[in-house]
Amino acid sequence: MASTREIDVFLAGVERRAFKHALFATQDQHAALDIVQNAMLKLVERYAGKPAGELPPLFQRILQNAIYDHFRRARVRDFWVRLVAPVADKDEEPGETLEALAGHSEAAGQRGPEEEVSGRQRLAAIEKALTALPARQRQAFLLRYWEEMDVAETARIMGCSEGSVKTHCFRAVNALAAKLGEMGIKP
Amino acid sequence: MNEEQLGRNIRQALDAGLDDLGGDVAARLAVARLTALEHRGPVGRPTPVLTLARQHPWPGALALLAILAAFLWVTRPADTPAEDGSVDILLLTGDIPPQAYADWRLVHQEDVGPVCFATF
Repeated sequence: MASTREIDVFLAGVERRAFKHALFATQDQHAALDIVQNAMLKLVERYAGKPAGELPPLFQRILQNAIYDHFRRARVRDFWVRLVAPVADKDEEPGETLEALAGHSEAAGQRGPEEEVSGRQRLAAIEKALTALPARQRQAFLLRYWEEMDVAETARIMGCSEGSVKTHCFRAVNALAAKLGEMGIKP
Repeated sequence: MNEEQLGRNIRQALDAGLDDLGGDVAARLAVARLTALEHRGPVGRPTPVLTLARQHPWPGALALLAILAAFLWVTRPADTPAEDGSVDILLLTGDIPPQAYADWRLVHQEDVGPVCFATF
């Protein structure tokens, strides 16, 4: 059973990455913080009795479920909002971010050669490219390459087959490379 | 650039960016973590009874079996027809002769005097 100290150290080590996971998905800082807080609470309340070694995949699964729940609640809320205001502008939906990213890439291209792009700008470009990915591709890519989980573990967390994880990762890498290339940034 | 290399490069960039989250976000995350740790419930701290049950499961299992057996004994169905009163009714209405439930030795002892019917 993990001690309180072990859980504290574990959460302190993953909280920032968890926040970024949620932020990439929601693009809303407050929502991302709420999601991380809920995930931490669920981990401690339900799985504090587990050994410390089992906490990382458990926390990732809880976090991904919390992100799903956020969008599920948002869909229900949107349904009622549209019912009340049927003329809502559908162009404001998330998912159109690839076009937005193309606009950013044009702007980035005007800034100059690759050498002039600072680390901060490079990070911003990477984050924009990640945000523009379809949710499942981003999820698979981040779990595999940021959280360094293997294919089987990623598949368990995502609730899909290992083949799907490989496909999502392959497409994510291609899309990221293409988008970063368009922005004049070497990945 | 292959998939692994690109993944590694992006991981390094993302890791480097974690330090620039901003004080507000870092503070809120720390508060969220401490709040979560304060909610550590009974799952995290097993009660002494649960600990004892885990260490010595047999006495508890035997106690449960004894309780189950007692419950089954108390709630068992009536195993003698006389207990539900139906036989008494049949006797009173003449559908069953009294001898059916009488001790045959008493019924056939003519020197005893009046025939004594013993139902049980």
